[in-house]
Amino acid sequence: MIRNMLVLVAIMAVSSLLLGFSYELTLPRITAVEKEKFLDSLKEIFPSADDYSETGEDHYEVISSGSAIGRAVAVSRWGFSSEIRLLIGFDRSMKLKGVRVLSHGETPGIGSKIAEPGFLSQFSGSSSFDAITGATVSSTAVIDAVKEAINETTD
Amino acid sequence: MKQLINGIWKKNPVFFLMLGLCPTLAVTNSVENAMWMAVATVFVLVGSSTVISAVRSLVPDEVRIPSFIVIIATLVTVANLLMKAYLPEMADRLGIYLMLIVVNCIVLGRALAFAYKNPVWDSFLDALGMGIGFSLALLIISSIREIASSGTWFGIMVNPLGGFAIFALPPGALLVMGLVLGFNNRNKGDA
Repeated sequence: MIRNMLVLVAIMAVSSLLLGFSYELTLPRITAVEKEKFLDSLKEIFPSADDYSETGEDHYEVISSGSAIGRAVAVSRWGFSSEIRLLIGFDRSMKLKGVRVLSHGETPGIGSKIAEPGFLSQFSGSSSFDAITGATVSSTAVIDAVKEAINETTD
Repeated sequence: MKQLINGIWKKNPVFFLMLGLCPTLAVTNSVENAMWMAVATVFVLVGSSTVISAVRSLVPDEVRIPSFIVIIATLVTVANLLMKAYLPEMADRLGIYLMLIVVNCIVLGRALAFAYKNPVWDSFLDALGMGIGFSLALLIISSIREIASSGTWFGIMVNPLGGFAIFALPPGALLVMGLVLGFNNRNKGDA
């Protein structure tokens, strides 16, 4: 009995050490990669962006050459079959600049159309949005999230 | 040496032992995805079998399963961290299936059936053979699926007559796997 416990504890100890070591070793690279990926998403909405700062939970200030050019907010909403993560960008006058899908697991070929420019291009300028035929749940989830974000910024 | 060769075809884990079918279906929509998944799986397979065989005299029978699972999960987490750091796009594309190597039946299966009862070198070879066999199975199925669905192989256009999207989706995966399995086992008679 004691032997069982000792063996398990020993295995856990060695594993924890190995895991901790690997985590520390890869942490700098992983954070750099995450930051780069997020910046790439921001660049899709703000082409001149080269940096960003976090101003609150999921709220970001977009920076270009040292000066702020807009705000962005990351929201999550459940779509048809997955949680959809969106990046919604506003320019300095708090007008909707663009929307990008950061991640989703919607049905390939159907709900996945929410990530395509054909659907996302309507989110800059206009104030009424159309859903995707045949992908109602996925697209209205995105539209609702965007409307919510607009309301939040105009408060 | 025989140990190594066996796992590659005669006792191929996917086609004949019927293990590890879930990742085989999930990541074979493109050859590139399948190959990196194979690399990660071989890493875990060989690592875990070797370590487990090395400590087999120290681990009592009653706690062997939790012990093995901790060892396997640790190796998978390390593989996941390494992939996220150095191949982030591939890590995104493999997604959850990378972590699911923990429950890949080939890994725990070989650990229990072989590594726990055999010397380190034999276990290493067995795991390597199984790993190569798994990679081979993934290569065959992903090649068929990618060439049929997007017409490419590893991203290179080879079949302009492709475009059968079903092969990129789960039903297509099952169809291809079934056909390949049937083809491989056609001489088995009524086993």
